[in-house]
Amino acid sequence: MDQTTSHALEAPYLHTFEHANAGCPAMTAGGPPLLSITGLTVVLPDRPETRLLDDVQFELRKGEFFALVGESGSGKSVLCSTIMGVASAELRCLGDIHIEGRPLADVDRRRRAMIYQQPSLYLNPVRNIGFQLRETVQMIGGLSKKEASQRAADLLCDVGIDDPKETMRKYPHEMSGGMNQRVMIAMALAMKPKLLIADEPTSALDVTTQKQILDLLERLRSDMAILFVTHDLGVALQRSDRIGVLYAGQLVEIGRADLVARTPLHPYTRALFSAVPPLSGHPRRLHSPAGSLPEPTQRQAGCNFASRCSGTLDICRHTRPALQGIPLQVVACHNLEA
Amino acid sequence: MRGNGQKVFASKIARALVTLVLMVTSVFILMRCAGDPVTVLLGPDATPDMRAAYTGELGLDRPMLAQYLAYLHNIVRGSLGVSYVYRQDALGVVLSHLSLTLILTCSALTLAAVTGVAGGIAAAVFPSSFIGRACTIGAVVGLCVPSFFLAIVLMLVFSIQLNWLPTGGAENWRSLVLPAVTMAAASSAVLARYTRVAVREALDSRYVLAAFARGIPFSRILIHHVMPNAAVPILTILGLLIGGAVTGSTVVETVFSWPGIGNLFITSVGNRDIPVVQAIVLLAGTAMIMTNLAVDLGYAWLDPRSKSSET
Repeated sequence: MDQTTSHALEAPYLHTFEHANAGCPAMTAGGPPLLSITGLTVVLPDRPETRLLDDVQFELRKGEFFALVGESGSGKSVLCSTIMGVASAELRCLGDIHIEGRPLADVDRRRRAMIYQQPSLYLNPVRNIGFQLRETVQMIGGLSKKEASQRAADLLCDVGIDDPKETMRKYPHEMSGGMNQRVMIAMALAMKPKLLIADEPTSALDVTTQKQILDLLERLRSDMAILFVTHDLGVALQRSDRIGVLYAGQLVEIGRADLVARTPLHPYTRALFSAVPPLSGHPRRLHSPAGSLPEPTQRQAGCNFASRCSGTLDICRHTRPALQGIPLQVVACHNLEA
Repeated sequence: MRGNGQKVFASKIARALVTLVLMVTSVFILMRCAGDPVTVLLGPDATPDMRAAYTGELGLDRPMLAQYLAYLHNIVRGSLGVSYVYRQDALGVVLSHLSLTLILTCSALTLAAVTGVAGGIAAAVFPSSFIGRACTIGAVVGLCVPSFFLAIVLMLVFSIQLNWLPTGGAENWRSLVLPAVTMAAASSAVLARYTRVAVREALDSRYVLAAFARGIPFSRILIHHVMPNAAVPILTILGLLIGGAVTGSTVVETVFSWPGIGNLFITSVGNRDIPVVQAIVLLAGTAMIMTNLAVDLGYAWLDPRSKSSET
C-alpha cells in the first residue's frame, strides 16, 4: 500500500476497523475459508485480451452471507457458473477456485448448489416436482424410492411448503414463481451443500414472497455460506454480512455491508448507491453514472471505470488499480481522495 | 382440468369428422372431373348404345347431386361401391392389397424411426465428432436424393452388380429389403433433422443446465430430461410420416413392382376405376386423420402442459 492511499484511508475508517471484528463472525472465524477465489480470470480462448472476469479475488467463510452486486453484463453470471462448474466450454478460466481448501476439480459437486432468478425455467416442464426432487435426493445414494420420496417430502416441509405430497404430484407450470423457488431451494438443500449460490433468487418474485424466500435463506445460512447475487442494494445491505461490487468483470470494492453502503470508497459504488431512491425524507434527484458499462471487447489497460469517473487521474488511464485498504473494506481505485 | 381435457378431445374428434367429409367430397368432385370411365373401360370402338347401357348400369347418367347423395349414403352404410374392373366390392379389393403395403410401410417406418432418431441424437450430442458430422451429412443427402433415383441406384448395386437381392416383386423377405430401405431413407433424414434440432434445444435449456449443476449424470439427463422434452416435435413428425406413408409408398411400390395399394392406386386411376380410387383415398385420409388424432393424444401424455391449453 503506498503512502497516499494509507493516508487517505486513515481518518474516517480507522475507528470502524477497531470495533468491527466482533460484529462480523465471518472475518474472525478460523480455519481455511469455505470458498477461496484467487486471480480468477475468464477469457475467450481465441481472444485472450477479452476478459469477462478479470483477476477476481475473494473468500467466503462458513455462515457468511455475501452479496455480489453489479449491473447486467458485469460478469456476475459468469462468476456463478464458473464456481458451479457449468460455465460454457468455450470459455477459458485462469486462476484458482478452492472449496474447503481443495481445488474445484477435486470437489464433490454436491458441496455447492445454485438457485436461479426464474425458477420455472430451471425446472423440467414435463416432469413433476416429485420426480425431479426425488432424483436429486437419490444422487446422495443408498436411498430406496420410498425413502427418497419421504426425504423429498421432508425437504419440501423444510422450505415451507405445507402439502408436500400434493406438491410432488404437480408440474412446474401449475405452481407460482415463489413455490417453484422453494422447490429449487429444496433441491439445492437435498445435496446438503456447503456453498449456496443464489443468482438473483428474488428478483422475479413479489415483495411478500421475496421476504419469505429471504427469511428462508437467512434460516439456512448457519450451515453454509451463501453467495447472493443481486441488483437490489436494499436487500444486499439488509441481509448480507459483506458486499462485493463487480464492475466490468473486476471486483472494485469488497467490504462489510454497512461500510460499503454508508461510506462507499469506489466512485462506482458511490454512484450505485446514489442511484437508489430514498424511501424516507425529501425526494432528491437520483444520480446514475453517466455512460455505460464498457463491453468486454472494449476494455483497456487502465481502470475500467475511468471513462465514467469524475475524479480520473493520469494513472487511471494506463494502470489497472489493485484492491487495497483495511481488511474490512478494500477498494480498487487510484484516487481515494476524490 | 379433466373436464377441459374432454372438451379438447371432443373438439379434436369433431374437427377430424369435418376433415373426413371435406375429403370425401373433394374425391367425388375430382374423380368426376378426371374423365369418363366408360370411354376408358369400353375402349374407343364402343358403339353409343353400349356406352349408354354401361353408363346406366354404373349409375353415371343420374344427376350429379343424386350420385353424390347415393355415394354419401353408401359410405355411411359402409359400402364403397363395386370396382368397375375387378367386379368386386371396392373396399375388399383395396383391403386385399393393404397387407402388403402395411408390411412395407411398417418395416420402412421402423427402420426410419430407429435410424433417424438415433442419428439425430448423435448429431445433437456430438455435433463436432465424426459420428455427429456423418449423421448430419447423411440426413442432408437422404433428404435430397429422390426415392425413385435412390431405388434405381440400389437396384443397380445390390440386384444387378452384386446379385444379392431381387429387383422387384413380393416373394419373400429378400424382396422387402430394397423397397423398405428406399422408403425409409427420406423419412429417416427428416426425422434425424427434427430430432437433432429438438434434442439440441432441450440440451441448451436452463433445466438441463440446472440438472448438470445438481450433478445428475449425463445419461440420466439425456433419457429423463432431454428426451421427454424433445419427444413432442419428434412425435409430430413421426405422425405426419405414418399418415403419409400409406400413400407415400406409391412411388416405391411402382418402381419395385410391389403389389400394394400404391400400385393399385396408379392402375385404378389409369382405368378410371372410381370406386377403388375413392376407397383408397378414403382409407389413406382416415389413416392420416387417425394418426394425427393419436399424435394429439400423445402430446397430452408426453407434455402435461398441453392438457390445459387448446392447441
